[in-house]
Amino acid sequence: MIWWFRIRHVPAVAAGLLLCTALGTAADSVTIPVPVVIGGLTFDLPLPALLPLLPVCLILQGQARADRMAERVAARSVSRWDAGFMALCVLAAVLAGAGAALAGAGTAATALARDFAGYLGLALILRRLAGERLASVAITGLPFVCVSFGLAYGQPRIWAWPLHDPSSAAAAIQALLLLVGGAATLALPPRRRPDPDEEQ
Amino acid sequence: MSWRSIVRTSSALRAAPVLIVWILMYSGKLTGSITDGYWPSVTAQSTFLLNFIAPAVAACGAWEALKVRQSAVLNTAPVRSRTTIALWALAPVLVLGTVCVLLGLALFTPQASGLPGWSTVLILGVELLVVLAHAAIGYAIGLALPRLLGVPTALVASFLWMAYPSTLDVFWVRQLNGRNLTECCALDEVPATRAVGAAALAVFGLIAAAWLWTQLRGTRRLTAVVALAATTAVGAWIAAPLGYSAAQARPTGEQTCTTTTPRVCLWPEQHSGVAQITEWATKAEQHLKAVGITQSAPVSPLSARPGQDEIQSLVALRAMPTRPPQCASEINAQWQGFQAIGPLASWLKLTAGVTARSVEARYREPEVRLARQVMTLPQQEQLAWFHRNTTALTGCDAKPDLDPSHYRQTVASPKAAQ
Repeated sequence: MIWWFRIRHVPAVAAGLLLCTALGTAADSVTIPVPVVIGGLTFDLPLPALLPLLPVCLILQGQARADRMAERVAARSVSRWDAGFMALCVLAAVLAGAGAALAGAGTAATALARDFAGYLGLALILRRLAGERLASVAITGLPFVCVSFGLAYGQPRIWAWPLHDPSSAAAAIQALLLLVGGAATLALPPRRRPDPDEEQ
Repeated sequence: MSWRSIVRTSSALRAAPVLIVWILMYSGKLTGSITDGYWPSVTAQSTFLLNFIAPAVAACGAWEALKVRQSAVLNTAPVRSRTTIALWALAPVLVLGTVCVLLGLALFTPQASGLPGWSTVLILGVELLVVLAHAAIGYAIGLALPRLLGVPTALVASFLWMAYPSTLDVFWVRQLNGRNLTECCALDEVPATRAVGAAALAVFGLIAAAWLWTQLRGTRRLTAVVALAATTAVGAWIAAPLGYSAAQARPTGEQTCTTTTPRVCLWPEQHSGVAQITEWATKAEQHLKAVGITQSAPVSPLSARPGQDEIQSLVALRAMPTRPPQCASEINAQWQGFQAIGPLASWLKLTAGVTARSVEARYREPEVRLARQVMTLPQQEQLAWFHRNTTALTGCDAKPDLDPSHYRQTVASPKAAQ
């Protein structure tokens, strides 16, 4: 348990989640002007769309640094712990978002929880398909791709869910679907082909 | 490793199609902000593309660092120095950055004319320094951070450093990332020496910090932080007097003036239209002279190919003060002269022969209507109306009196008009 705790960067992930929730709530008006390729000149990307990348990448890193062979043959079911840990993270983020909204601290934390869940789900799916390293890069590029190509007349298109309002149902559904998809990849049996990262 | 293997395995080769497509798609949006035919403007605007190039190069640098780390060559006793190893790994990345910078410039060259000057070379140099700096910082981040965090951190940090400073109220920050040169240049401006110098110094500080960080170990790495802080401080000191602008005045020696009335002063980029511009200006001047308005100030248009309306407006507006009086900027100032700006300007422009359409597009409808009413008055009354209201523009004491009917009496008793 202690090894698992350390290898998975559990304290770092918890600190990252806390930090990004706190920053997202405190500095929800901070926006970054991102050049838009299609539709408009620049778009003010809110900081809460970028912050959840930190805990997601930390979780990925914690998963990737383990000795996979040893974990596969371990007596304890490490993969079940992993799934539980990620579920707990998402739950914590959602509770923090709901709490902040109820306490009148703005809806930035809600958007942050949604983005965290969606990014994590997508990262898990991509990890399954293309390996950890590409997943971490692709998930970082996602908000920028959404801004560059996902705007119509200054409004985000339906698929550019990280840019939607915190109250948007379409974005919440997409994030939920991605999360469910990511969770499903955890339930699948491990791939027999060695990970491309391990080959290099 | 042979050259072929380095290129074949490099992340730059994978990133190149994405980055190039991104640049090609975006470049169309910048053509509007370029001063046609003016090389410094073309080069300065092309630095906007660093917004995409720098993060891509930083991410590739971090990726190459991961490969170097995985090979464990740095933990053994390598024959080559750490810098050489880094430069070999980064070579394709640097080539990608250089190609993209040159591509960005090449995309806009059709809008330039003549030969590029020294400022183009300097700006290109700063851009290439930015590419090197971001690749080096990405490499250092890739070596320092956990395996999967390096590339995302390099990508986001590089992007934030290029994009975020322009939203800050503290202006010197934006001068340091090398992208603020897009604030330059109209025809009467050249890139400011301070802007180029501050950016070059700050970017050089990034390179030095990355180099020191990868060379040294333990607490000695603090020298990298110190170097970065020092160059940033000096860069800020250099850039502070500029504010957010990145331009300085162009030497007036490059401007040539005609001997006609009015004098027309043109930059070399405008010379193709000199005959027509002079003709328009002379015609407008004659119209104004007919109502009794003469001005000696030269006419110097700012667009590369000015149209008739622009020239005639310039000739007309010389008769008005260009800025509000000093008293208007004081606290609790009561400057009522501003009400006269619209009517006076529309009257001057319509009198000079500017088309009604462009005047109506520029000023509010009642102002243009008032100007038309004034134009129906006899010449003496128009002039009296003009002089009476111009005095209201130069001070806070006089109130404008725009009603044309007030001036009928003044002509009836000519002494009062004086």
